[in-house]
Amino acid sequence: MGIDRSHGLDAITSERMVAGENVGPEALVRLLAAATAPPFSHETAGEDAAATAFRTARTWPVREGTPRPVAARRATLLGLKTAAAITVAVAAAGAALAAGTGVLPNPFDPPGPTTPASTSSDPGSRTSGPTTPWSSTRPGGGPPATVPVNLPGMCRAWEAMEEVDPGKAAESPPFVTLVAAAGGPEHVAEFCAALLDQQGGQGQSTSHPTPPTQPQPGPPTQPPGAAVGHSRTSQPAGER
Amino acid sequence: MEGHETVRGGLGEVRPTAAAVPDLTDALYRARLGDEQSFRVLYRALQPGLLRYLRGMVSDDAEDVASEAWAQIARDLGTFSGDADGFRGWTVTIARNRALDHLRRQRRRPVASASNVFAELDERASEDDTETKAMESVATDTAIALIASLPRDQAEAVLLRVVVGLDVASVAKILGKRPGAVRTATHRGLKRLADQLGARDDPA
Repeated sequence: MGIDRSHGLDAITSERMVAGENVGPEALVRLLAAATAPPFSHETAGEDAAATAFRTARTWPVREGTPRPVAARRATLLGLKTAAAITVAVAAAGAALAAGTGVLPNPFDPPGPTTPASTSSDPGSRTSGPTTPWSSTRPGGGPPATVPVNLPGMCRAWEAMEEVDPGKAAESPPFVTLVAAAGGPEHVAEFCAALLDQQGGQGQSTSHPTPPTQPQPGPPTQPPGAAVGHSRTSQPAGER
Repeated sequence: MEGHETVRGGLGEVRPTAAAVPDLTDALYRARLGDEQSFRVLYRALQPGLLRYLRGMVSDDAEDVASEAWAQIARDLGTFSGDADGFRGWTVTIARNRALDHLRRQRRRPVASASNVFAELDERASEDDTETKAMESVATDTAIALIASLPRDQAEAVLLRVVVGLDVASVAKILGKRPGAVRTATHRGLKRLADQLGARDDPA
């Protein structure tokens, strides 16, 4: 689609994005790709605890009231439900506690074949016009006066990530806000240093002591139609 | 109106989702007969999406709330009647109720602010910086946090439709809204996210 700016995001495009089509604003595509990345193994670390709850529920004495099949027979458990609830709750609490104290499987077991979120969106397959993902940036390297999202928090997350895996953060979709604010991935370090300094030194920009004096070379390639403001009125007005 | 409810599975490239599950009919049938392995299949298929949704609802308490939800799912599985799609909606309803209970107990706003989540994320990132596992999911966690920073109705619509992968009708039922309202909330949420991500070129 030719739609490449947030201001052009219409209801149809929204629905197509929800359906998983690779349309819409690049940054949003990347964000949704990250949000829907294939499961990480630590996300299912509670499997054994859940299975324990399942076993506990199944071993509770069943009152065979009717000869009907399982679904109906389960309904006869209703009388026992309150007692069972207590039992399961206790079991689950214990299991959760065990999980929290490391008795249950380590959530940090060896990484599986999960792919990084950034590979699930293919910028090359889209017709995004003359802009690159990072080109719609603000001029200069200084921090903006007002930030609708927590840029200092993103800066600290970025720095933490850079220490572990340099370059990885630049590929991470959610950092597009930060990269865009800084004027490009190469400017994030100084941008964050300046921003965190401005914050009163509460962020320790240890790895990037560069003073924020470097001007950004070249004019920003801001699309003419990408002006500010929220003048679009394409929202369906009907249902609320 | 948009009216494109059928695009799922139809056009274009479909992004893999945390909840992109195949058919759970067989696993559901066997789990209800008491087969633990089948219950584990259900868990592995549904938990990632549930957990991300809960992370958007209750932030760092998501794992605890998910545990509560699965305990209830395990307990009440026999009372559920319906197909695999219905089962997914049922599990989300349970998870949502547990999350709302949790929020009532905590007396917190249902949707965590982005700044809170980023602060937590920051802490976690520095604590676990030797763990590639944590790093791998930072992008996903951050994306969920951004979605969670939307107004709650928009955040829930986006989370349930995009991240959990439920269709409009299921989400409408879960949220007690009409399908059109769910679509509108979704659209407004995505639009707001796009503006947040794309409006960086505003002069300060």
